[in-house]
Amino acid sequence: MKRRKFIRNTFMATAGMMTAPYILPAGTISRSSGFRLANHVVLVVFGGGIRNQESVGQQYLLNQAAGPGGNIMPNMLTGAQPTYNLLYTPWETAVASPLATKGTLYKHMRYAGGPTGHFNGHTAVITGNYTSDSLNLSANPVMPTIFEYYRKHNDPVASALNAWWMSIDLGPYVYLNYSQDPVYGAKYGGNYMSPTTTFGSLGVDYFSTLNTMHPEEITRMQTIKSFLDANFDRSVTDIPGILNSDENRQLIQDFMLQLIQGDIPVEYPLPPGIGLDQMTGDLSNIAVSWKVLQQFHPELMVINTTNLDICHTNFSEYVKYLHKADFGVGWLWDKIQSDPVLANDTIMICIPEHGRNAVPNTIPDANGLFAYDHTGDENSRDVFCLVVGPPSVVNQGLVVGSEDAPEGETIDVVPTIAHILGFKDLIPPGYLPGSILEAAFV
Amino acid sequence: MQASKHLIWVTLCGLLLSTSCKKEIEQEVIYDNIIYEIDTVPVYQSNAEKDRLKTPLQYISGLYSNLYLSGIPSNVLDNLVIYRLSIGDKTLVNEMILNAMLDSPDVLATIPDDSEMRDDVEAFVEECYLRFYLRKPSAYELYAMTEMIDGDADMTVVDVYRAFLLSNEYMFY
Repeated sequence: MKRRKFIRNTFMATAGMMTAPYILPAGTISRSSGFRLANHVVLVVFGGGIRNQESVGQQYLLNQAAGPGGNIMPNMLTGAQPTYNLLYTPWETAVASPLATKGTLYKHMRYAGGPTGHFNGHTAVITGNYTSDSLNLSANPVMPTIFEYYRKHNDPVASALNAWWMSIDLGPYVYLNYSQDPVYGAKYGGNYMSPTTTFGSLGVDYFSTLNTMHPEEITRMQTIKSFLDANFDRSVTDIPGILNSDENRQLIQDFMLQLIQGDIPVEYPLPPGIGLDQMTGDLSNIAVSWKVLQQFHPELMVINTTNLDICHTNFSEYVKYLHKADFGVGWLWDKIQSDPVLANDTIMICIPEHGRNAVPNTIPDANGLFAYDHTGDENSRDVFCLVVGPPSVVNQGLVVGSEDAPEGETIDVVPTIAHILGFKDLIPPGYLPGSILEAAFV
Repeated sequence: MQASKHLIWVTLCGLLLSTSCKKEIEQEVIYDNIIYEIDTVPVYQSNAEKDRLKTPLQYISGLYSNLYLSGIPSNVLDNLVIYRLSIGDKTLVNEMILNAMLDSPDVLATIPDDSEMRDDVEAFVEECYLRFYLRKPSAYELYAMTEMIDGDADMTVVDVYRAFLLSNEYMFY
């Protein structure tokens, strides 16, 4: 392993001196300035907080002395599922073998700084910097997001069509596609969508009969708009938010209307025989995210889930949502591998925003199981991270980190993505305190 | 005109002796409308006066009132503001909201048809500047815009409206 790393690092150093594009292991040519391990990264952030006990710990009901242990995340993790006292209907897996066998599992990783709040946790993963109690929930983060690093440090600058933030919820999450940093900012932000709103009842109510614009209409409108804009000295860049090129904006709008109007059929992340009534917000977000991946083949996408936050009041439902979210991740990986552009050229990273407390609160659910909050104890700072990718790039079936010796931090995700997409060395010093999750890579 | 203005003013003064402050304000508004027959008033001498960006709420409610010629119902405004939050590219979502409004039969009933536009393009252009920019076009703007419309037989009223309502100037006040 050490020898292989040495060879790889040597190759990277050599490659760093080259300016011409070169062939990737997967057979594609890099567009970025540095060496790329893959051309696509999908980051899944489990919002709501997952305890390691119910995920990689596979304790199921043991922890509450209410039943057996077992693996309730069979798509992501290896291990036998519980066979009795089931709080959920087991779904057949979406993948032939668990994703842990196709990548590296950081079994114990630290969320080492800042409050264990949802927006704090998300911000740490997406910006690579911990936050404080003073984090503003109504503003873009202070430190740049992974979208901005990615777009700015590609040559040519990557378009926003290549960078997507897919959030199940609105609230403060709408601010995570770009930062306030004057060197980066909205100009380099990622596209943002909240599919449950964008394609939910509001989208259907207002846009289900809207026609896509004809190219001639767009040209005529643009002709006049250009004239009007030329006679006004404030530019559109004064308007907050990210910008797509005119052409890409039209592509996205056409895509949205086709999805709303059913011209692009939605595929549901459900096993055979399971009805639509079993869909969750998390799975809806994954379903639309897959459509965006399939349509635009972005190089960077961040997706979150938040249904797991029900663990504040209902442990049984938390277990159900965890089982379903696990299926969604497996399903998404399976879909990615079915796409000719994304297959064998995508690395997926899955990580909870933070954990949850070791000790339950006093709220029992219908099964008499107690719920867990996330108030900043050590357990709520213990998370896992799974890095999955092609065997030529990502170490397969490797498990690193233990409870006594955790490895990695949640702020390491940003430098790791920068490493995968070949622009880590272009980020100015002082921006990213984290490190690359080296052990994951061949 | 002056005589009628004086008559109304005297009448109002008499009324005001026995009415509340609120009543006074209402009467003054009526007075202005009667005397000057105001419909649309240019409030900007030039676009340089516009230096404040409209909030999403202002933009959407402005779009609605400009196109439907009525105030936006609060539930529609709430829904559209929420929907606008769900998409990161605000230009894109503004376009979608605008296009949906321009598709509405209620809106199509309020705008001139293409033949009316062609009958007097200059008047149409002036009306657009007043309606959407709250100012009169400069001589150059009037000339150039008229030429653009005259020079393209396929140009429609909706094309022109769409361009105004997505333009940078419309985003500011």
